[in-house]
Amino acid sequence: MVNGNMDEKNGTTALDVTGEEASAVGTVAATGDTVTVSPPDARREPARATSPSWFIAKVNPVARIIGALVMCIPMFVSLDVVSASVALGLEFVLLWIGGIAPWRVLRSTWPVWIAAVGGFVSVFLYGRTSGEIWFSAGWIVVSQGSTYLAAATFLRVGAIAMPGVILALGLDPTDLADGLVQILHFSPRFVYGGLAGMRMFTLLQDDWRALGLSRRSRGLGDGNAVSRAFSQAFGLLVLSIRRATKLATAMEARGFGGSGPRSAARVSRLHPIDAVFCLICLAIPVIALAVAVRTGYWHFSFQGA
Amino acid sequence: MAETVAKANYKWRVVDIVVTAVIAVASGVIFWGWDVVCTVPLEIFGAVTPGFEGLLNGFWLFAGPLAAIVVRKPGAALFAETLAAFLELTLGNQWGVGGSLLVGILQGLGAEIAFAIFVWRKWNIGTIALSGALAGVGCWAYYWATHPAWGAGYVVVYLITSILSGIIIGAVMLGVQRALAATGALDRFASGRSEARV
Repeated sequence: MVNGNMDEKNGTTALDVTGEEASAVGTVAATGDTVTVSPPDARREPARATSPSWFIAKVNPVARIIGALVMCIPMFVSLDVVSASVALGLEFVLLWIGGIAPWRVLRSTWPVWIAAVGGFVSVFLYGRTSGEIWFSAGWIVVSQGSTYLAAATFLRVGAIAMPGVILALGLDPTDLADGLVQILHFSPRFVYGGLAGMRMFTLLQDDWRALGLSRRSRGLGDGNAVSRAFSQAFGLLVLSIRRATKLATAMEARGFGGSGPRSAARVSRLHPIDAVFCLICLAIPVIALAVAVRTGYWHFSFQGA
Repeated sequence: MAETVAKANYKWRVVDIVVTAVIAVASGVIFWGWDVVCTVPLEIFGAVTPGFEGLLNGFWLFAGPLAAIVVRKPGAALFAETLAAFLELTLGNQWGVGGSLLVGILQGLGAEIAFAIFVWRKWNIGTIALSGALAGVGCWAYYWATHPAWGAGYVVVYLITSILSGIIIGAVMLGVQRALAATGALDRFASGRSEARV
């Protein structure tokens, strides 16, 4: 209760400061002091690459998400070493062609491999057993079959997660929102309302710092670090919800959410490259599974040992 | 009781959408933080115990239940959980599009079903605990699909611990919603006005 009120105060002061800054700029201009402003065409703001790969950067974000799902979902049907390693190999090669070298892929996806090791360990120790039993203690049974399945799980977790992580790198939420509305015809109220929330994410870090400082100046927060984090997180939530309700009013005042037709300032369209990308994404699991079937390693995920 | 709504208003206002989105974004940051923090405990739990790491899943399950009891609209849980998962994905984590977005949608569907059963009219401890539990089922389903080789015992323990974790986090979220209402931040929502103060 106390926290909430304090944070509310903090929120309003933060807003006031920006207001004062705006009016201060106005008075400076009015009194005739020179404020140097570079002309718009002299400002160089290099466009942020939407992906480390030149190829993926050209693909529409909607196609990127769909392609990523198309690539990973078929992989769930089979659990074997061959299909997973073929898919993983193809992904590494294609990403290399796309401009991301394998060592760079490994560096930016290192958490995937930790998760894959976790998958390996859990299946190795507690997986479905078959064949020769090498070791057992209580719940733990290590067998020939579970070791094979653990290796397959390791490769498959990598094959499913690694491209998903790479495809998400640098994905711009605004471009995706435009695509969701214009290409997939999602409700613009929900998409742009959601985007408005996403945009507030950048404010959260500043808010967190400001909250921490203001709490400290009141002598709060010298105690337990965990309880401080929780109470400050709650304060941040209160602040965000207050700002969101204010934002909603401002959006409605500008006609957002009305019943009239909506035009798009940024055009999002599909190009042939998007179809090429989706076909590549489909080809990877299809080739991987076909190789597994041909070599006889195909193994339905939930069946047998 | 104010927790049972006699005549529900299912129409989304702009403020409902934006506040759901903000709750989702705040939750997404916590999801992502938990992705980083949980890696080591998850590995240890996974190695030492069969399936007890499900207990740690709660930190990925709360966005849907919290948003749903705050804005009280159909689809709020699914919307919030999906958006939170999307933010988690764009921040970068170990699970990629499948393990963030897909599992987020499954958890959101689970969380939504609990409120849908009661036609979005009951917002009490029972429905939110059920919502957390079903979100846990969604999470379990995805992890079983990625680790189909788990033994039967492991699968069952993981399911039970995920559900348990969801129930606990759901109950905690009811407390969070009450605390939010007490600050007056939810004045524009039915959930914030239900506790009449004189």
